[in-house]
Amino acid sequence: MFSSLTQPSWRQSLKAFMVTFFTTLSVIREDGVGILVAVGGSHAVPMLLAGRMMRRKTVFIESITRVDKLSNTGRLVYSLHIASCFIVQWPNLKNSFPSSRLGSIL
Amino acid sequence: MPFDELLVEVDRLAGEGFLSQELICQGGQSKYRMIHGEQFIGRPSIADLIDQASLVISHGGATVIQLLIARKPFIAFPNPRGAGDHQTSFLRKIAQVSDISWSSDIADLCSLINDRIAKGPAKIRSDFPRASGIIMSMTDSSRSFS
Repeated sequence: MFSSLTQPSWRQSLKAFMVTFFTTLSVIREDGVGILVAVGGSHAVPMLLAGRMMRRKTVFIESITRVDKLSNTGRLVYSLHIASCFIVQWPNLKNSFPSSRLGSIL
Repeated sequence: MPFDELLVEVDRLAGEGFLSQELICQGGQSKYRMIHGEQFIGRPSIADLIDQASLVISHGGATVIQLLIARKPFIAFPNPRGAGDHQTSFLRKIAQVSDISWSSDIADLCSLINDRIAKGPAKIRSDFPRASGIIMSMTDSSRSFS
């Protein structure tokens, strides 16, 4: 039904990670991408990692639904420093994660 | 995430003739089957349905943002099955910057509908910095480096 709602096995997760990573690398190379922007979902990790490795600027925007806690993806991206600009959408979160920036999508 | 309780209440109100207009519901993984409305599991975008609707009853996820941007009157109920119940904290937070209609108690649906119809679409405070502004400033600086 919804593949995103089913819990994938580690094999599927790893495959999705590699596909996203290498697709992003080739898109950056072929289309001359200067800045990568990723939102909420777990695909952000391989995308931003690819962007970082290619020395591009990377932006992560945490979901506006995250008010006082980061998503698991957000925590991973923040602690791995793979986003050159980490945007949260609520002042509370900005205070808890000092190197983030406040920026709303609304 | 199933949200049968909400479907049941909407269907009950529709059965009592309280919702006089056509009723279309995205049920997702919910097991309940509506008697008084059309129901579908899901589709890539519900933007066209939102556009046609006079009132939207929603869970407390990112749809709320879509509805605020569309300036559509809506009522939101947090789905308690959301990861770490983040829908409740999200709606509580949104309610600080906007006059949205929401409640954790589905029994409030009827009174919230009347309330929202009287008020019209919710308005949102807009004095936060824009994410798009931050990204635009990065594109400017990357241009000046190259």
